[in-house]
Amino acid sequence: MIVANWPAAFAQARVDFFFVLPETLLVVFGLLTLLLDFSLETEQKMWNAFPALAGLALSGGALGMFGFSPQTTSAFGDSIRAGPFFTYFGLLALLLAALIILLSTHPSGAPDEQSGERYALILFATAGIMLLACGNDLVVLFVALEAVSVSTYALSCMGDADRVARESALRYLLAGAFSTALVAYGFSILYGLGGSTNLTAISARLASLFQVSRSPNLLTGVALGAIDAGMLLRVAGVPLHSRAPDVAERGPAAVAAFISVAAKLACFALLLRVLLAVFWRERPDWAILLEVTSLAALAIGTLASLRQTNVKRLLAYSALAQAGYVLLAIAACANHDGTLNGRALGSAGYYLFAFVIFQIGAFSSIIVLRQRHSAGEELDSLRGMLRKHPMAGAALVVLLLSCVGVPPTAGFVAKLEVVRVLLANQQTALGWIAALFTIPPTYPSYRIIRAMASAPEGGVERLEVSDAQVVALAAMVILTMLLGVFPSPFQHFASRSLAALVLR
Amino acid sequence: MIPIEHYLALSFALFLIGAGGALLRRNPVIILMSIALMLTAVNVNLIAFSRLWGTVHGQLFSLFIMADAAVETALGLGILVAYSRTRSDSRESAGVGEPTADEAATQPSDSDAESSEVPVERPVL
Repeated sequence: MIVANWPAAFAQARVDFFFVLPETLLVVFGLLTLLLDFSLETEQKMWNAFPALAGLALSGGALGMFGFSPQTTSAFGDSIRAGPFFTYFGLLALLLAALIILLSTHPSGAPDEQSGERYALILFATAGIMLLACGNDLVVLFVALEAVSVSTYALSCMGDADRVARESALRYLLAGAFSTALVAYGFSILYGLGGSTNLTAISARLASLFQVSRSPNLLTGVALGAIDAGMLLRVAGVPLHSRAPDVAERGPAAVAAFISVAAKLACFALLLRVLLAVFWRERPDWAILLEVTSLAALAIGTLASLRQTNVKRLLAYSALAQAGYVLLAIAACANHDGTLNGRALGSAGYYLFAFVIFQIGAFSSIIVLRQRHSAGEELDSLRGMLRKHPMAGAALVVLLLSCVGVPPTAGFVAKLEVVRVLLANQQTALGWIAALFTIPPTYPSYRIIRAMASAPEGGVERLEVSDAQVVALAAMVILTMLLGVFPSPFQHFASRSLAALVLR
Repeated sequence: MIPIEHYLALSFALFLIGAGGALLRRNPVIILMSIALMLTAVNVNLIAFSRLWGTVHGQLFSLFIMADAAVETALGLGILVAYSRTRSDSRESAGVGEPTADEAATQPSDSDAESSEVPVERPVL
């Protein structure tokens, strides 16, 4: 058919190509960054940031061109669905990558931290997250998931050449590969149930199966369990939770921040798509699974972060606790009568947005400290931060407060909304537990802020902060205040884009 | 034609063996092999279902799974080589060079597969 009708097929392919233009631009500019890196001397590595940022900006432009329309368009034989969900997650991924690249440009930073490989890998991982957000086919989703994972594995072992760093990179890869295998097994069963790799077709087939027998099918349960287990291993990482902080502890802070946030973002994109689009009818099963995991993530993340003295480890554990809140919101997105709880979806999407900003913001406290001669990762190395650079110090205090959830910042509204959704949903116990878990994180943040406010050990030498880092810090402070003071437009947008996923 | 249940049982057994190996063994090379076994189970499923439904999607998907297994193994072995290189570096820079007599006595010989074992896990919290 295609051979006989090739001009029409070619024209269709060109139209379809438009829908993956944002990802394509990222990949092309990632390759350009790699090429540019060859021609740069060691002192000039900071120029690598320009093609990377240009790629992100162009990709954002391409996303915005068709982004804000409420309807979903399918392309490549329904393998790709570009719609509000794609726009929302795409913008989040681009924002994340742009912040990380801006924060890594440091005039006196170690040159290998600004190498072209590192920026290229960040761009490839971002393209993978965007593909996850628009894929509507098991094969596309799997390849996109692997694009993100393999990029983060490679990033995790590119740091210092010390033994523990390599060891933790290896552990991270093994844990990640294990969870990928689980997801792949779930996908294969899903293909067997649906007779197609297309999510729409699988969803329709599962609906007819569900009408024949109301009880959950064994194979459906296996598929759901395998996919969920694989994704939850990564998002909350509960049985393997020691991996992410291990990886975060080694290697540069900017990369640690990217890995800990990007991997979670990718998993949430896949989890939301699979749960809402395919397993909508089995929601009582997965809601319980998500609630149990989120409680474990909250407990481990919060309690473990209390005792850490390494700031990177502390923040990696706190990211775990934040993932628990998102999982609670996702678990609550189905009402008891089978309708969609738009408010829960909105709070999940809003939390993810706030999470990207305040988590990167908290990490940036050690990113700006990292100089050629000092790693600056322990709590003590933050001493005197407020005097060494008052502007950056003040921005970091605001972002840390947002991370804890102090009004009027985004973190406060995000946590409040999750608790309110749970209480409105008659899940009183869960709501109170979620509310109680907001208290302990104040202690580690208090320790960080106290260290920053205390007198420095040596003399007050002024901290060097590049213009790009100032731009990133300012953007994060403005966004976190904007999200905190005017949350409703963001919540509506988030709710609408997540609700567009449900195929019914 | 062999019924689909047989294929499913085979793949489930393969998957369990792989998962058991990945969770219980400590040697990174064996963990990588176990993960490859889990992905093989996925391929058995995909190809059996592809035959059952008469569509080619499953076979196509299995090609992607194979490529992914190759990528993960290659990256894993690369990191493993880098890891063992830093280990010998640190030994040389510490002035130890060759393992001393009692080190050699406590450590298994290099031909033993378990010698590339990742050291004892750190405490959880």
